[in-house]
Amino acid sequence: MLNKSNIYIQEKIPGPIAEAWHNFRKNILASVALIGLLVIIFLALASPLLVPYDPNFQHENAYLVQPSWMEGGNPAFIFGTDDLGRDLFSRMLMGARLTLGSAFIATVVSLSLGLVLGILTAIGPRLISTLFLRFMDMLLATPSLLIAILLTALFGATLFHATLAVAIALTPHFGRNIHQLLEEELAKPYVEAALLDVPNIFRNVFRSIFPNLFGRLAVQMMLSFSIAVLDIAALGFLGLGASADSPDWGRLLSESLDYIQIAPWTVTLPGLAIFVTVLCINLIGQGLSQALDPEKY
Amino acid sequence: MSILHVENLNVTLNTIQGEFKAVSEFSLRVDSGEIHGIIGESGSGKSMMARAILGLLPHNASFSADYLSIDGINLLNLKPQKRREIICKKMSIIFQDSANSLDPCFTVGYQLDQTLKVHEKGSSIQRKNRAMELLQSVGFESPETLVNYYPHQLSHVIRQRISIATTIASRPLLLIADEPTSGLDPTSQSQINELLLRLNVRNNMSILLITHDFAILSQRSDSMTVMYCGEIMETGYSYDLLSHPRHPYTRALMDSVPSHQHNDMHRKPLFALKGVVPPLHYLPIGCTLGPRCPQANKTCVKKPGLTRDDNQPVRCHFPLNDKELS
Amino acid sequence: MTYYVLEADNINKEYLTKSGVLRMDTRIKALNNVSLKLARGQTLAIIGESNSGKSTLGRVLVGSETPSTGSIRIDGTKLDDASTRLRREAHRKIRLIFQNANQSLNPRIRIKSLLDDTLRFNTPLNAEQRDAKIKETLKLVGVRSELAERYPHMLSMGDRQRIAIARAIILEPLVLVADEPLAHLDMSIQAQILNLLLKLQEELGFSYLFISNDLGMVKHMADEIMVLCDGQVMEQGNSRRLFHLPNHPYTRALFSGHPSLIGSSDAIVHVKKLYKSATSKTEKGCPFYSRCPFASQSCEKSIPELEYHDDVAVACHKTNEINALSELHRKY
Repeated sequence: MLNKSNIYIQEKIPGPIAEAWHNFRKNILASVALIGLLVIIFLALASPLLVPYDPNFQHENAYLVQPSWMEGGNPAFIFGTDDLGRDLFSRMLMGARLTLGSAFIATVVSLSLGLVLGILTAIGPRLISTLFLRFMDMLLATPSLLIAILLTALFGATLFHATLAVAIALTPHFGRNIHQLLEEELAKPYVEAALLDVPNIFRNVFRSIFPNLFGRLAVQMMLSFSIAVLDIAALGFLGLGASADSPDWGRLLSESLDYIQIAPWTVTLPGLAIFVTVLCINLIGQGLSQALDPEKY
Repeated sequence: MSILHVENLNVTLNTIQGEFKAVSEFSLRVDSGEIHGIIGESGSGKSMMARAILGLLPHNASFSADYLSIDGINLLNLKPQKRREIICKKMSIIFQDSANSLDPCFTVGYQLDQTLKVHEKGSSIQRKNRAMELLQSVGFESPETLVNYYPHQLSHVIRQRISIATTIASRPLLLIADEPTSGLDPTSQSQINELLLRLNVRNNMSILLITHDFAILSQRSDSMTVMYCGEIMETGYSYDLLSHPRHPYTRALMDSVPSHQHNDMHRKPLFALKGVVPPLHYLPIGCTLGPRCPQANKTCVKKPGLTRDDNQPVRCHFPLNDKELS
Repeated sequence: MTYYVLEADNINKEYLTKSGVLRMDTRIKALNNVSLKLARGQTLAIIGESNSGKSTLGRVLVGSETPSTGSIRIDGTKLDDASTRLRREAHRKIRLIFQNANQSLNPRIRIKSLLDDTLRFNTPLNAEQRDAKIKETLKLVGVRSELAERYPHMLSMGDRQRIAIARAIILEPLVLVADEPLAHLDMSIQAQILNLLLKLQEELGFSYLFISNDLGMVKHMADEIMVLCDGQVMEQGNSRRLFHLPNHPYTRALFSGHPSLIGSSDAIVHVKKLYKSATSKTEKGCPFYSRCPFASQSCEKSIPELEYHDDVAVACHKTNEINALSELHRKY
């Protein structure tokens, strides 16, 4: 007998991940943003090897040198130097490490906390659920900067505390969102079917429901990541985050704010870096959500 | 005179999988006061055909036709604006999920009134009377209380009836009913069917009934068309077609429905076509039914045309004849 | 005495909902004193309008919801006083085939690991035995075993429904509760799945609890029929007998759209009010009271008891009257 597949022309249907990737690649803007973000992350990770100078070394007779492409620029200092003669390119590379790194840590920490809270509130006993939900509502009502100011007032202004503050501020977003998603999924028939097969709700949350949430969680993570980058930079700008000797992008901005009239590049370039990074992250996030749910768009 | 006359209608869909025909070479005539049934499985293009006639195609679809007229007016020659006006005046459609087409924010009466504003001239009292009349005609004995309800306060069948009332508010000549009863329980099914029949008899409204229920077609419809993969397989008067199906597909469908068996088949296996309906972009070569047909042979790799067998158009190289049946 | 694989006695199920401006708790009776017995290899079909408690009954029996009162006995094990472990053991013997395989199969889990999970948590089989069992079950339902590596959305609707059936039968149950197993399928696929269900019953001796709105399918499949209205049994009994001559006016009204299905056409009753009004719900009377053409005051005041006439049980105050009427009708 002939093999059945030879009679019928078989239709190739991709798996969920392959399909999402296929959809994502069709979105040119998001693909470019992905490449952009990968380059930025690579630069940040490899910065100790790439920096031409010690970021804190003060070059004599090279104060406020213009970027290399401008008139009077020096090819030795690609992005120019600041008021103390420090190489801006090296400082920005090291800053990328701090900004992106702490933003990433903040996102991961808030995701883990959010997962715990979300699961607890979705399947936990009613009292605990209500308690935590109201607690998260309270956090949501507090501005993240206020939390950061409180933390730094109590423990001192360090990048660690800024990261912690951002993580705390982001947690209720994750918690609420995961709670919502879980509630939605729990009402679906496939969960009921799974519970009849394996009556263990914890196992089913991880084994049955989470594979269905990965996409939407990834989107939420990208959005939170961009918020975290902005918040970390904002805290640095206000002097509540990174210290002066290891500055992040926000700190770089605020340091050179006094010279914006005579040396605009010292402000523009770090600002541009923040702008491009956040734009890339948001574009990827949008691309992801489109790729995962193409019918909605 | 025919209310609806379609000649050689083609609908092309443009999707990620490429371009393909959802409906091909479709022709149809519905006479005044006639109930014409369209039967077919999913992907047979029956809904696409209805949408093409009404100009409600999705944005990735396009259609072409040799002739398309409603009540003697050729729609193809008209400007889009005018065409829409005529379609709006002469035809209406009930969808399967029409019950959910009511706006949850407004009362039933308000929504009905809004529809009437478009179609009727007259004072608000006249409109109110007309609304009561409409609700009575879809089987509500005391519509006065009903108009103050919001859609979510009413059951599915009642909402379905109300949405039928709004669709017939324009006094259409042709009502297209796209599976109006699927998913409903038996009493609701028969209620909706009775209602359609009553509209047909009382208002002389032609009905194009898209369904997969042979029983209703045999009881109610005058003529019917069997569709498969976007093509007409067989068409003719319902009585002739159901008592002597010419196409093996019609025969197979009838045999696969237990309520349509003549002798007692209790707990005996039913006849079932092998395989599944092919996706439209992977249609088999030749006759679309080819791989599933119980009596296909070599000739069937050539595409059969719609030929007349005993004055009953059928798309098959080997139409069944009566001797085989007995 | 016949041995029953499934016995349910006086099952009641109430839901608490909040309604009105004051958010007062109101009780909604979804099931009211429903009793049923199912012998091995038998098919009991449950019919009724929507919201008549058909699906609730199915879900109570498979254990996805607990009844408010009443007892369930599966294969001799009484569930209410059994330990959790025993109850789980018993529930393996009664499994649900979900209505819509599109929704009941997890879209992100491959068929194989879905079935594997079911086996791993309910049987002591090792990996190899499980693998063999999966292959065997898939063969039984007519799905090529290489399709097990796929995700549900890569299968045709028919194959998905077959997988849903495989998932139900893989634990070798005694009773299968099929909640509208054919409703979302095409006509030719419906016949395929119906044949599959019949074949499985023939070969493996399952008992079916067949919940359906398609009276044609019910007539084809069922040995016994239970007619539900607002959670109450209106009529219950032998399928042939019931389709030949339904007794209860509600059953007759259910059949009214399908005169070809029943034996004598004079048995059809056209109900007074065609639609169920959303607001008026009789608290203590017969649930069909407001629409019944034969209704009198006694119907409003008390719920009729199920009374046995030969092999059909009817809950109606007016049985004798109606029978006399149809007798008259037949004579002339």
